[in-house]
Amino acid sequence: MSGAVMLLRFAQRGVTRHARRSLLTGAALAGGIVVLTVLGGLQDGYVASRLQDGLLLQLGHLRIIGGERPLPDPVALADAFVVDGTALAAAPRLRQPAFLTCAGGSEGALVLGVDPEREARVTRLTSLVGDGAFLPEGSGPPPIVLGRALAQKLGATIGSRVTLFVRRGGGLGKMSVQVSGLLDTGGGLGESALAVVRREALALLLERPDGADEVALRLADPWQAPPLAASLAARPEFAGLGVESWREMAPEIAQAMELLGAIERVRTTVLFALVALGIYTSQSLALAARRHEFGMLLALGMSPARLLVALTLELLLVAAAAVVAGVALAAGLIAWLNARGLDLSAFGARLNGALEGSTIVRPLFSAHRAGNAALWAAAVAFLVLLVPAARLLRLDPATVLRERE
Amino acid sequence: MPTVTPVLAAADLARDFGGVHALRGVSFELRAGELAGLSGPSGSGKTTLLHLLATIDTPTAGGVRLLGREVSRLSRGQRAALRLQHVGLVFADHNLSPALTLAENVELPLALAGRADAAARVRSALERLGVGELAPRFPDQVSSGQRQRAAVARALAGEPAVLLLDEPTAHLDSTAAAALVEEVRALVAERGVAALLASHDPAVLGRCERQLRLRDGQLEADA
Repeated sequence: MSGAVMLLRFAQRGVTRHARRSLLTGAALAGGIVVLTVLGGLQDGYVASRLQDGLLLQLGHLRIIGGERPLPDPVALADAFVVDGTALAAAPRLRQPAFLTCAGGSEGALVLGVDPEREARVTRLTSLVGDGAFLPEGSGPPPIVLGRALAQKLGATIGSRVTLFVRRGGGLGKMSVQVSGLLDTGGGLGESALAVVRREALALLLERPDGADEVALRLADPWQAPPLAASLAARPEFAGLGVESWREMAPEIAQAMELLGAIERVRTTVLFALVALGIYTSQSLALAARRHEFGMLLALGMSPARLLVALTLELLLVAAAAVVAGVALAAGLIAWLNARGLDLSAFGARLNGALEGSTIVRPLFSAHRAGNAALWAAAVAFLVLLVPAARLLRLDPATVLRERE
Repeated sequence: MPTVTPVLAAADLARDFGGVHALRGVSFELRAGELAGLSGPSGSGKTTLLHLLATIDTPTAGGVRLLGREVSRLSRGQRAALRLQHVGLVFADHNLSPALTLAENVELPLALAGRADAAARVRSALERLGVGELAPRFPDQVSSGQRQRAAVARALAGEPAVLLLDEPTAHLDSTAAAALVEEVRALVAERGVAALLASHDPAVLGRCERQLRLRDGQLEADA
């Protein structure tokens, strides 16, 4: 048996012989991994939910807007993004501030002109109609869908006539529309200040022959939107146009993510300080209890460096088991919570717009996040071992052997 | 038969502990194949002397020569390597690692020293000491006499030049103690090891061919 194999065996026996201490150390490490991974998974789930519910309410992941020049053939541009695989779906739109009046009152709102079929593939707007229908085709006045809170302020119900005023050239344009549906977006501006009409109707009102001032895209991976926006903006065919990812369109979401990231760093530090304290206590007690054993090994001729290797191997074995157990437990817990869903509506009710869309958060398991937690745990365990191990390496075997007499 | 060249030599050895003179001016030589007994009252410096000779401890003054080389001023790492190669140690309290089987305990210093034929040496050493069948057992699964035999096997498996035994029979009955010392004596002669055995037991010391006696840290007799 080689020296390395002997040290490994010595380490393995050390783990099993001091089962309680190994269990305590392993449980501290595994607990840290579980807490970090599950809390991180909840955070990821919340962020994904915000991206899904918030961005896809009406913004999309990325949009091309007219800038120094108008959008050239927005419909063809939208189709091109889908055909070349850049986007899952794309929809041209018109976006216009407007003043709405009805029998019960008047309100300012953002009016969105959309193509219902295309919009259904890009955002969730069409599915959020709680009452009525989303811009049905038919004769009569053009249909309009109002946020439920906006409709209440206007005193409008399904079938009500609403007059839409917009700035057009140097004056005002107006159009009479009929409420076809009410939007339930879970609160926020989507319910209180959003109205949706067919794009061609709004284009007619605005006398805009181009018919769109933006093309909204839905991507397979929303995290790819910022780099894609940068890449598109650098291409010559997009010169004079604006390209915005959700980071620019919804800076509050990006800021919230930065805040969550900062909180996560604090959480990680505090958590592992506690884990480190627990491991330090257990390791110090364990090494003190084995002082004579180590003194004897040094007396026999084992070098302090080899003793440190043996102790490190011991800790690595415990850490490896803790990583496997911690990651497995975290993955299982996240899978269960994901299937069940965490209803945060009680928190959302007090924080307007925080849970716009779904109030159910489903944590997501991230191998990257679990790997980071495992690395943190291993690093903390090793650093904590160094303190009592350094004392051990200075151990004088003659003193230890004399103590036993 | 003992040869003329000393394997181990103490020259004017002294060791102080915070102003207390544990050893003063101890000088003697041990030759290959020689088994010397070391006696003296408790506190006379027997264990301190053994620790200095084993290079576990360093002297306040004087020196230790092992195989003709001054070793007491070597670095800690060099002294550890030296012990692995040339010194066999047996303690009063066997000091086997409870985490390892008897065979693994014997193999540990051989493996650390990088001996290629460790397995064969382990088997041979344990069988020579009569505990070959207990090789796979852990120390707490055998008697104290058997543990001490395994400790002697560990000390001799690497074929050291020097064997130092500190009260090896302290926890054994007289029969087991006599048998163990006889084994040690035979092995010392057979392998040409220079051995020093510290004990309080006159029966054990009587089996040694040479007697060293310490009193108040000084060598009182060498006969």
